[in-house]
Amino acid sequence: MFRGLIGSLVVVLAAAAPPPAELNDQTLAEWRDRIRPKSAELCFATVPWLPTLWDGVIAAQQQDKPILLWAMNGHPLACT
Amino acid sequence: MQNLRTGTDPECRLFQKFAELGHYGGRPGTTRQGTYAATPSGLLLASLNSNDPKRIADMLRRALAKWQTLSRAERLLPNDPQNQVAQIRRPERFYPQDGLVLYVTSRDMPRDTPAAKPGPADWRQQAWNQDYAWFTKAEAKQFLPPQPQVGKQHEVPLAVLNRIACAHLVDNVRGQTTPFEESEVTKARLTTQVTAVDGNMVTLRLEGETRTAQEGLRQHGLAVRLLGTATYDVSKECFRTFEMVALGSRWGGTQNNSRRRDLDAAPIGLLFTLAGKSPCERVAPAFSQHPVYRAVVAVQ
Repeated sequence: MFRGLIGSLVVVLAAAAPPPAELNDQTLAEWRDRIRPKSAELCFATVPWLPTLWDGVIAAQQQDKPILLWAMNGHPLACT
Repeated sequence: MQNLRTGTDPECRLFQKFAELGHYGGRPGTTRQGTYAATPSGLLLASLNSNDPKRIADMLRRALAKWQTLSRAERLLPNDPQNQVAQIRRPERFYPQDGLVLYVTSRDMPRDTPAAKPGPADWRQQAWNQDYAWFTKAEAKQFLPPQPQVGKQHEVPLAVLNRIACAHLVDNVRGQTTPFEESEVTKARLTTQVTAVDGNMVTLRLEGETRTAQEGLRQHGLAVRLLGTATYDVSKECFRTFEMVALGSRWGGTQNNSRRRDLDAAPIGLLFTLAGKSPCERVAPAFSQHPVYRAVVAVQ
């Protein structure tokens, strides 16, 4: 036993609040907020993307700039 | 992506021109996913498939360096691409300008049993996905009773509800999935009730339930309750607010939705809210080619 150890440091990790028991008019807002993306999850949307490659071609031609294309199965701005 | 790889309109041809010289070029049958830098004329500047920001930054620097070496005639198209917009065969051209566009997000909900939970460092715990749901102006009106009076209830027609059930109440939380056929909708009801009328504004309460299930080798399904509120402007004939939660359970998995061993029934939540009007919120629904979308998107 180490007498130099004055006490124990108890770290209580606050558990995430449990979800409401059911979906009703009173809990609707809480369930909505659980599902809704947080701002950190939407940081990709802070880039001024255009929805299609051809929109990018038109803008790039007008501005004489290169095109950056983010291509995924599905659509990166929607379901992937 | 598949359309860009195999289509024949000017947008597809341009993509094929530079993608075939990119990081997966020359490999038939493989994906062309990735990040590309290209000129409007279709010259490849650089590309790679990575989510490493340092590698992407390096790729962008190489692309800009190459851009600087090109003449104006090399980097730009000889004609205005605006003139070819009518030839582009994308579903985005059917965006319902005066209709109802909803932003749909999906996420796994907390699970009761520790054994059912993925590991703490697993990306799957943080997974979520998004999509857009489209309705024409006429379909949007079908969320309301013909003469909205306080207390009046209305059943949303199956043609509209089946689109939600088949194409949007799907388990895409961890990745792309498949829609349901209308024959796989075993329960579908969405009842709206007028809770207030204030001048031209009608407030609705939405409540319902759906169950969709595909049986067989890769059986999977969803059973959810629906609850929400919305306000409709009868003079402008458009929704001003829309929030609907779908909460229930999902089970099984599809080929690409990364469920693998996570096939037992587990909670899922989906949220439908009004989409904004920015250009990047005009993306077509993932299943815009499904028969439930025939009223909105012409078959291509």
